[in-house]
Amino acid sequence: MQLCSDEEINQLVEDLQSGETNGVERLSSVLQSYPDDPRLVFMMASMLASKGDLVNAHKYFGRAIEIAPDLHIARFQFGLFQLTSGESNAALKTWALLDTLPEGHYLKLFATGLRHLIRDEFDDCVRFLQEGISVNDENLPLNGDMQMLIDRCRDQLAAAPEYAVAEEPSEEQSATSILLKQFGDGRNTRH
Amino acid sequence: MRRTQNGIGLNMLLEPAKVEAARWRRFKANGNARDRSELFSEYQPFARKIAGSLFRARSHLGMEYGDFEQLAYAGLLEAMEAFDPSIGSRFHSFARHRIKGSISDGLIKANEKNAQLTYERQKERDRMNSLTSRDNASGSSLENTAEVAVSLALGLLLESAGIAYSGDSADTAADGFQSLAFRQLEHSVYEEVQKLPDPEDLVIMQHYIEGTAFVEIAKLLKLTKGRISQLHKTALNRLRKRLKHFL
Repeated sequence: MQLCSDEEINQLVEDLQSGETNGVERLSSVLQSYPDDPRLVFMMASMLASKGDLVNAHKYFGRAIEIAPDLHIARFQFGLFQLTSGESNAALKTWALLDTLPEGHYLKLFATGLRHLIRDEFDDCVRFLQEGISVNDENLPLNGDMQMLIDRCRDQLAAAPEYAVAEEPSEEQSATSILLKQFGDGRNTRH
Repeated sequence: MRRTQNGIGLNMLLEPAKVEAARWRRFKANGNARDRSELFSEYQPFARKIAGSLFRARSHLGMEYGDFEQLAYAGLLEAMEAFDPSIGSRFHSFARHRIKGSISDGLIKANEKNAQLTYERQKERDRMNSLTSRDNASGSSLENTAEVAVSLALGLLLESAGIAYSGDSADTAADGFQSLAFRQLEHSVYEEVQKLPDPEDLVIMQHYIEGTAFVEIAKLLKLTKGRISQLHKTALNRLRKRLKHFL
């Protein structure tokens, strides 16, 4: 498997963040040279998701963890993508391998928190998400996402259940699936 | 540990666009009838809107609104089959022309034949054919006739429940027309429909709640019209038995 060099990735991220280039085209051209680089495949999945091309995003997410089962950030994000698509069983399957991460790893804690959320166990969900945030200094944008979920759980707990209404995710929240930011310091979340 | 109503946590996470994309992906990958049906239901209001605007523009042709609606549904189904969600275009813009085209083609054919059975008459005929088919008929002709009459009445009740639950009805509670007992009956009927086995629930929901003709339901579920007719009869018999304390 031929991998893209760090220099090329850094240049790519810089180009994409500048917004001066068509991101999908730019990324596609690099992917042609390195079709099996899971970081690029994951980056493409994230970009497509952020642009609303959700069917293809799903395909690239799946491909990323197929090539690199230990690319845990991709695995976590794919599970979250499945969960927000209403495919909770698929998400749980995707996240199963995160259990092999060391105790206290932020992705494991986040996944555990979200599992509690699926079961409407809001207190436990908040506890695990908070713990994940406190130890995650690798992927700060993800902390923002999880904090939003914590806030919503707290609202849920504060409200009488019969008056609780699921809110639509805000633009700001949806935009967090633009994972390019994650290709900063923590771009190699592999163990 | 504090728990609340089941499913709230998951619902907090759901993003409608992603849920819809997942349905498209599954439908296109394996032709799942439930995904197809859910997508169809999702886009039916869109098809009805187009049917409504064309009906207002061409009401002089003498066809009923129901005919426009069924032609719109046929166009919607064709569009769903032809649509490729991986291309990235939006389904609404893709389907709009096909739905309009389906209505226009249908109007031309109706004019050519000059004998188009209107949707309302066709619907009544479909139901009657379904209920009077001889398969599984037992008992005296009088008993069978009584069963058919009760089933037809149940059909009217289902339509009424459909209108009540679709939100299309005006609030008639204030004028006293709908008694509490009648609304409770509608509610019971609606609940029993939800409990019907697959795909009887889809047939009843589509026909009575969404107003879709048997022929379009057949295309939707990839079954013959005859099979839909059988499922309709079986479902009504089942509902009749379950609701016998009301009927």
